[in-house]
Amino acid sequence: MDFRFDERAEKFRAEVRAFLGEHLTDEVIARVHDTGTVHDWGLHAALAERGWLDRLALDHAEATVLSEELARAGAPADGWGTSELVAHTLQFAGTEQQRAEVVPRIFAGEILVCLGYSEPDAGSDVASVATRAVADPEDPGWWAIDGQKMFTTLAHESAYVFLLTRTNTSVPKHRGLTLFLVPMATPGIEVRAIHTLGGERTNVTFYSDVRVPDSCRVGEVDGAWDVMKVALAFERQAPAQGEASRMLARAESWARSTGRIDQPDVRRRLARVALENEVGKLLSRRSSWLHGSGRMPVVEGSMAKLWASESFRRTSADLLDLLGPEGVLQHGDAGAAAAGWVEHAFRHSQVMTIYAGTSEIQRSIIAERGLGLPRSR
Amino acid sequence: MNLDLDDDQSLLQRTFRQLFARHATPERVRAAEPLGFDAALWATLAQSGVPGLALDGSLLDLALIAEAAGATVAPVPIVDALVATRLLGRDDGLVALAVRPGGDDGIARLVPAGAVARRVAGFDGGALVTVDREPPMAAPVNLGCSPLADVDLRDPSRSVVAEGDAARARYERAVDEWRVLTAAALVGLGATALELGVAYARSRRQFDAPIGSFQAVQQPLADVATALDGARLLVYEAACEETADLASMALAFAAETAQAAAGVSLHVHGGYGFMLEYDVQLFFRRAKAWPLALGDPARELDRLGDLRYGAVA
Repeated sequence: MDFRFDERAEKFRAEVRAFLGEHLTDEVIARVHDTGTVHDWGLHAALAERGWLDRLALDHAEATVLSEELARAGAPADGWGTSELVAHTLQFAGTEQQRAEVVPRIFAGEILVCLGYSEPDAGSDVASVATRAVADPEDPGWWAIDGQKMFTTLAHESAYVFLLTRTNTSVPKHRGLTLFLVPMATPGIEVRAIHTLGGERTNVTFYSDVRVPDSCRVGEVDGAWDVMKVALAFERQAPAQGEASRMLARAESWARSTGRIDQPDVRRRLARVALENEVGKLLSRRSSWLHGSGRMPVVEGSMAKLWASESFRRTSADLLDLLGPEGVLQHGDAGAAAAGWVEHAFRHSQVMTIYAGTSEIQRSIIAERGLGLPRSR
Repeated sequence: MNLDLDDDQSLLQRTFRQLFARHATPERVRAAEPLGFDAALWATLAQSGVPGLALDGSLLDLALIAEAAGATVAPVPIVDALVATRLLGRDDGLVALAVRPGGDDGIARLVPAGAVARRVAGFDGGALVTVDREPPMAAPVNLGCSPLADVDLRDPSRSVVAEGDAARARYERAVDEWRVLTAAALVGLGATALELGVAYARSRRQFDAPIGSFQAVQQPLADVATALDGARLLVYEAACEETADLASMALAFAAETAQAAAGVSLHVHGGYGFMLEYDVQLFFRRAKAWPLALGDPARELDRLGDLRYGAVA
């Protein structure tokens, strides 16, 4: 048992830091903050050039180090995250054509893919989606899609949406779903911005008589659930533990610069955050270690995601209290404590216990698949 | 990075888990109360090389043994003896460690294992010392049924092992090892407490269903399972790295996690969990009591703050 990365991985860490020093400029950070679009094409292309966009192609230590460093530095990676997980899902369940034509473009950093799962009435119960895909009786080999998707983050920058649809209403809900990889340029798709508490922009997307050929289908007709189980597990792989360590570092420099670092309550609370971050780091590293050594960390992935997101929500709230009245001043105001980043973390952390499976869903996975308790639903 | 135990460590873990499962049954744990010492179990452990194996084993090896002992709340002071053996560098049998230095009067208060050890190692007046005495074999009535006793570190039998800064550093390192091994024992304790709660939730039926199928019951158990996995990783990391900050983190987090595990498990048992007849109370009491031998676990965070930000003058 060895908790340290080897020399090669630490050398790689230094390389990633140097890369971020060059490509993650203040201008990029400012643009992300101001637009709420947590993606930057320049940075994305630079990552692609290094061959880093496909983390499953790196060795597991390098993949872990890369994810940790990007999150720690605050690199905008939302578009990469969804695109990469769709690429991995296509490698597993896509057609030969999708694997040959779409996957390479994703890893070349040319295109993004957004997720079309959630709907106004389908959140945690994702299998209850109502967006319909109907095989056109007049035009064999074509489908017509109608419906609405919520929280299609980065739809406005994406070339495709990975769309979960209902194709059969006369079977149990999990058995009547079909996935499509739909080009966003297809007529009938409309994207509308949604602005959020955390400052990020997401979207609602509408689909009216969107006609796609059967070659856009991923997996079997009515067979989406088997693909979704894999896709959802990929999504839980990468909890944003690095964001919490960045927040702590900012709070620590605030405490040093104000002299508050010498106060016992301040030290105790900062130490508490350091402890929680260490636990999160270890749970997250275990998950990627298992993944890298050929084991599918379903329960362990849920644990890492649950701890990281719940802890971040808890600690960002406490550190914001610690900053006092100047804590509420936002990034951009000269008087903002810790440059307003703890205030930002406090807002942003609220969504992390919701997306990629709510904490309640993660706990159900842990309780039922990990502890062997009877199914609750 | 490699988060798997090697073959030797897996074998060690399996061996001691089996030993404690066989010999530290809940009946034996109860029979050893209130003193909290089972001499026959200690003799069995001695045949397996305890505490002498502390001289050759890594701290991770010892953490695996402590975790196995904690999983059955075995009524033997194995953590104290392993740490004291490493501190003294020789196998003197059951030696206790005064984890808090002697007071102005030279007396170390409520030393864990102080009631059952012939030899006690401690720190007093700038010196690392041992004292030998006839153990009282009786302890003040206490929450964890621990063999606690005050020990006079200025007893006529006092023998000075080392003095000066080196002595202090050795003692502090031993107390850090005690933190790590106590944390390991607490992780074992918490894991068994969770198993008891899960087993009960699977079998107990109310409202025509096993209560473990209710999300209000499932979710706290899932939180506890998550924290326990985190605590175990933290303990193993602290055992591998042997740094003071990780030792404090491990003890603080294992203490709160073991208490949460035992508390949730007791609660899941409903009224039965409050009955002495059910085993969960054995775990609940010790989860709180073991870390308190050193002091308020929140002080581990204060120490962590000092280690991270420098001591305040």
